Amino acid sequence: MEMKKRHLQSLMYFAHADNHAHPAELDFIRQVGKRLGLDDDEVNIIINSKIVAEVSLPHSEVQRYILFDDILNLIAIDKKITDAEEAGVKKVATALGFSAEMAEATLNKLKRHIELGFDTNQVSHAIKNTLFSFTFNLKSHEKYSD
Amino acid sequence: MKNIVIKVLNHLGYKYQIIVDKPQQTIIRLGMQLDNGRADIYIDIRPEQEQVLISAVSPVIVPAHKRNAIAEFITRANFGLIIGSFEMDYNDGELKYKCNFLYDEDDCMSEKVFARNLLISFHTLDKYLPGIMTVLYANVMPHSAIAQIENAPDHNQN
Repeated sequence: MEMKKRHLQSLMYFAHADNHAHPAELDFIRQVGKRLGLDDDEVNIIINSKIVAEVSLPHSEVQRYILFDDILNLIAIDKKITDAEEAGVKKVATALGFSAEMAEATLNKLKRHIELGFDTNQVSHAIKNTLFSFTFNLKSHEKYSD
Repeated sequence: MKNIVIKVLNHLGYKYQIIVDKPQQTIIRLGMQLDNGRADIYIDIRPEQEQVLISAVSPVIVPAHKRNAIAEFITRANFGLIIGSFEMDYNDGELKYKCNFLYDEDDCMSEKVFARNLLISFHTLDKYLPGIMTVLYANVMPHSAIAQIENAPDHNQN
């Protein structure tokens, strides 16, 4: 639970990088909160709290990547990525322990999707919940040999 | 089947492009914003064989020096995977999750079957994509990346 809250606090930190969190950025943070299984009250407490002075980086690299991707989406919320934002994304990638090539590759893909209008193609929470009911187990390790 | 695929995509409200439209083959492309990254999805319908090939392509090409590590990663990911599998082209580094199925033109369940296979493709690539990225760009060992993913709760990875 603490890790999920820290994830949102980190996003709030980046949303306030320009000293003001845009309503669309807050909506995105609410969506992330929902994805993480936090309830609305918990998310609102984080949104209304004082911005953390320093981002607490997740220990796991996978979690760091997920944080990076959420930051990238936060920056691209207005469908525009400025040169300054691009430079910022590259710095964040490095700070999170990833090479700058990753930032480059993911930025290029994101820009291409925005250009083609694909950035709005998302799986809704309702569909995810339905999907989850029949894909709870993606794996089976049944052994069939003697 | 082509009409069913289009009906499902329209119902889901997705933007897509028909990039091949011939009697023997239709290929539809769409980009998806997943929870953990972006992917290009190709839906290849082959009416003569009654086949649908769904490919969820990784947003990045695997560089030559990382192909062995990713080969290990996808072998570990594929082990036990019930539906579909990951595959990588060793020659050019394209990496994708594929979920192909046979259909029956007379089957009234085709719409549901297609929708489920499509959503599973999104879900599975989304689940493993953070691991792929950490192996590629943070020098994480494949077994460690798999453990970080598979030991995390399935609903989301936080």
